[in-house]
Amino acid sequence: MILNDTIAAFATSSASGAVAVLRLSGEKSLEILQTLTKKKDFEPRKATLINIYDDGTVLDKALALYFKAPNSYTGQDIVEISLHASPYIKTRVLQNCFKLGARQARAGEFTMRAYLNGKMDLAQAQGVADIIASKNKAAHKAAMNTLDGKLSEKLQEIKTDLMDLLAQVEVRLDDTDGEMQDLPKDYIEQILSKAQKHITKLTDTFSNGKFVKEGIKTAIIGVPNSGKSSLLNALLGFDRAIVSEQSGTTRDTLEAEISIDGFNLILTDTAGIREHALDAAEIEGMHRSHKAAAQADIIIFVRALEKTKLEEKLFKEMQQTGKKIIEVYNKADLFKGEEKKNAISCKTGQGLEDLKKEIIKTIGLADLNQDEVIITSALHYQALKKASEELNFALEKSTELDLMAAHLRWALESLKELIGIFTPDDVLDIIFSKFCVGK
Amino acid sequence: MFEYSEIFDVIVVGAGHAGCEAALAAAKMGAKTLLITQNLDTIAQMSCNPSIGGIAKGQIVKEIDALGGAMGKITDESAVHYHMLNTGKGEAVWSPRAQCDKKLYQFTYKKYLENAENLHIIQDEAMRVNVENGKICSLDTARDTRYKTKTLVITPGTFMKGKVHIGKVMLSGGRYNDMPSSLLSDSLREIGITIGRMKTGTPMRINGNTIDFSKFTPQPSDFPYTPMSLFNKPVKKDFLQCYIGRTTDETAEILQTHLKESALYSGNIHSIGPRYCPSIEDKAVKFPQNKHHPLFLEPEGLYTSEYYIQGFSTSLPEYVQYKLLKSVPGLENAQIVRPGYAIEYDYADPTCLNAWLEVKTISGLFFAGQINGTTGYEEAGGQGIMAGINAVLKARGQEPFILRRDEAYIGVLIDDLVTKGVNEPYRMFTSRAEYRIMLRQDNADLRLSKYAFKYGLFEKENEKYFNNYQIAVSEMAKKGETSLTQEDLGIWDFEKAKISAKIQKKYQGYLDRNIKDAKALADADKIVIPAGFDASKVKGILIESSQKLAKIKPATLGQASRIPGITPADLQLIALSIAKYRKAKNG
Repeated sequence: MILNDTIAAFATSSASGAVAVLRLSGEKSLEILQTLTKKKDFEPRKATLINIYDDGTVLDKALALYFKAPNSYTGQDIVEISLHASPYIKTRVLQNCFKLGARQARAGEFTMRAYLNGKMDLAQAQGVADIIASKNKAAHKAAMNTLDGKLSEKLQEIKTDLMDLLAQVEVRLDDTDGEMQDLPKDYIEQILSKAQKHITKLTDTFSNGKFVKEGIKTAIIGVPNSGKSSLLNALLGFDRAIVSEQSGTTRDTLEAEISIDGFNLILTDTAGIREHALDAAEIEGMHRSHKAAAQADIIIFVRALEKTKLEEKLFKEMQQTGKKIIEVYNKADLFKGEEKKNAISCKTGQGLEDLKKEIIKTIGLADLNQDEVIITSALHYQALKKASEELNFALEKSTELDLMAAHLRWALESLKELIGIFTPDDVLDIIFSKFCVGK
Repeated sequence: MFEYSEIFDVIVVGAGHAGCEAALAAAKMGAKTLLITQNLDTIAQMSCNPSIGGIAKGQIVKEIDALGGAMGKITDESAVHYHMLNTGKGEAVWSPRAQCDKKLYQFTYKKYLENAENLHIIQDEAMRVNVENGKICSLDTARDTRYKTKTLVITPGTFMKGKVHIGKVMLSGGRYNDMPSSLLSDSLREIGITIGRMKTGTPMRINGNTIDFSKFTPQPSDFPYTPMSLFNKPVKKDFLQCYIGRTTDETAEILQTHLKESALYSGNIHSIGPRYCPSIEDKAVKFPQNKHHPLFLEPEGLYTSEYYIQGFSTSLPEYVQYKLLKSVPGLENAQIVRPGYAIEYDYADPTCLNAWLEVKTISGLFFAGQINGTTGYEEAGGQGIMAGINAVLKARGQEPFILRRDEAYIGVLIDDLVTKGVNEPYRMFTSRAEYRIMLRQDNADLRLSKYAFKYGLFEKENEKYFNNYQIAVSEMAKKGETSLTQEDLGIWDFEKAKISAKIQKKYQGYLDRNIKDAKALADADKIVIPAGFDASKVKGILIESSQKLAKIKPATLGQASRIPGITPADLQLIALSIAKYRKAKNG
């Protein structure tokens, strides 16, 4: 772990959903701001209106604040950029920061730096320690299961191939007896291009996916009193991510945005219709449900406790839209005996995490081919991009084994968030198991 | 009991490749030093190959030399054959190796030791280590003599409870026909050191007059060659040839037939051997598909016809060893003069050590060489010089000397030992080094000689030449030329500067990246985990991490980060807790 490299993350405390505050801390903060804005002079502690560039064109008009070390929250150089909160703008700017040398901040990392630099008292620091500790367990568990099924398989395949190639290179660099034949060029090319193909496929799902650019429109549909609003609130309440609430196009529709694993979900709830418990209002409610469903990428259909004709009718109509539907049984705490898939309880929180996973899974299947794996985290996207770059260099240097080894090591190193930390011992394990290395 | 009157600054136990470097470095630094060896006639003996250097090992020899050690110089004085390995690959992995006249090597080393000021050599056997209040205070020997000392460096090689195996034959010995050290490891166990068993082996030696060399491919020495020591130039001398041959299908068959008779596979040896294949029976078991293994005939010296057969290390019975020889073209009539054997010995778990090779729990006690679970003369020598320097620094109450992983293979070696421990005899490979491109044989002086000057192992008067040399290399790497001349470089060689500059220029982009990565590592190593702080008890770290931290007790956050399995979040929590601990202590 490094304590003075540059970290970046969206501050979670942005007051309104219209604005997202990107915070950078570390040596390169100012330099990154200067590159993003093509502007040299920034006076500390003074808000400046700036253009944010992306590939030479203006991406956003934003507000920037620069705090010079040590007079900042963390005690390091800090830059805060207030962007328009479009998922696309946010993603692009964050990716550009990564390209310019920043890395994704870990949980509690800004505050930790603040404490280490004497900017914070013990009680506050304890709060941060608790956050890091809980993240530590979760991340470790995730690493142990190495993410989810298919992604893990793909990554393991890439890792195994690259480690094998690296072992082939290393054993030649350490070949005292001069026994090893030259590594065939087509073998190198084959391994590298296979890995590149896998990586490109994965990164494409992230950077080109329309969901990443625009967010995923999710309609919460159900008959009155099925618990749509409480589901919405539960989803919002259980996620630490930026939450924005704003009135929708009609007075009675509520839109809210949450982030799950790097995806932005724009939830549309046809809330409010319950208040007018009249037939006419129900009809109006159905009408709105249809409209929301038509615009949605995905539908969460909330089932009520009792089956009704109205519900069946609504469900059939939803099916006719051809959209992916996730059926949810709310109020699981009131169910007795019966086991239901996607049974959740907004009251106890039961099933909510599984539902989130189900949403992500369904999205993956919705936009992409069946069985396709998708990348859902900016951190992972960054890692894969970096690895791909290194593999290009590795191919370029395939006749100079010491240089190729360096690039292969860097490629594996950059994938550590996805495939675990790579050490020289891992390669020696392969060498000793595959090659007869003598004295 | 006879109590020797003087109190030594440093006592070194064992005069092998680790002990000799330790004793010479300590004496050169001006410390009152005692070197104890069981046998003055086996000082710096090459128990195995008559060769110094090799891939990754040659780099270590250059590092020892650049630090002011003796291994490189003595190699040059006794070398009979030089070969630069890996020249078909990038300069980062070029590795010098030299065959030596074994006896000449020993005699030369003995002379160096005898001529060193401040160094007292005594033939005796160390038996017991005495500790008072957690501090080393004296050493008792087999002749019931007590030597008082401020620090003690233990380098027993394979001698602690050494046991030699040839087939079913088992003999006590630190080497074949040399007495083992039978009580020292018990004494170490008594003071809380964890002792384990390891094994290694050596091939048979044969009489050169019974070899048909015409069946082998001769490998003549390089000339001009790259000397092992910085200030030596290649000279014409009596070179000897090496020879390359191969095992046959018949060899493979013999090995399969007689495998169970090998001490390794008969169940007689229980200790940990390496996963790489030092013995020919290992090769047969692990890689049955490779039938024709290379063999190298290496001459043992100018005044002997003995040949060492590299690649034929074995613990098979003597009669099978004859059969094996018969199966190799050119060795059909070869006469064994010494059979190959395996040896088991006690080692100490190196995670009990600090990064400067001092036992964490006993002030002033240092371990170096095979006792730490390594194998190889070079690995031993590298630890030896570090232990010697650090023992003197300890005796003087000065800050310890640690080499980082980006500075030297010696740094990689020691960091691996004390951070990860060993589960097989540890030998160096270039692939162990993250910063391989920085750690070259051509730039060992540029990396390390500043320390030789700092600790008084190089003459102060030469420092100006070294500074000019650094400038010359850097200027030539950047601009292709320098205004400095050979005269400005003094004992440093201008031609060598040119070569180093050229290599540096070639790798510049890679070096820059390595330097950046290394800086991050160095920063984390600057965050010291305070002595009274128990990182394994930090709230919120993973249980697995806690167990590892309790065992290794890392000295810095950087070292903690290199323990396999420690997560970034663990490190964050430890960093936070250290800060809290410091604040609480300072009120």
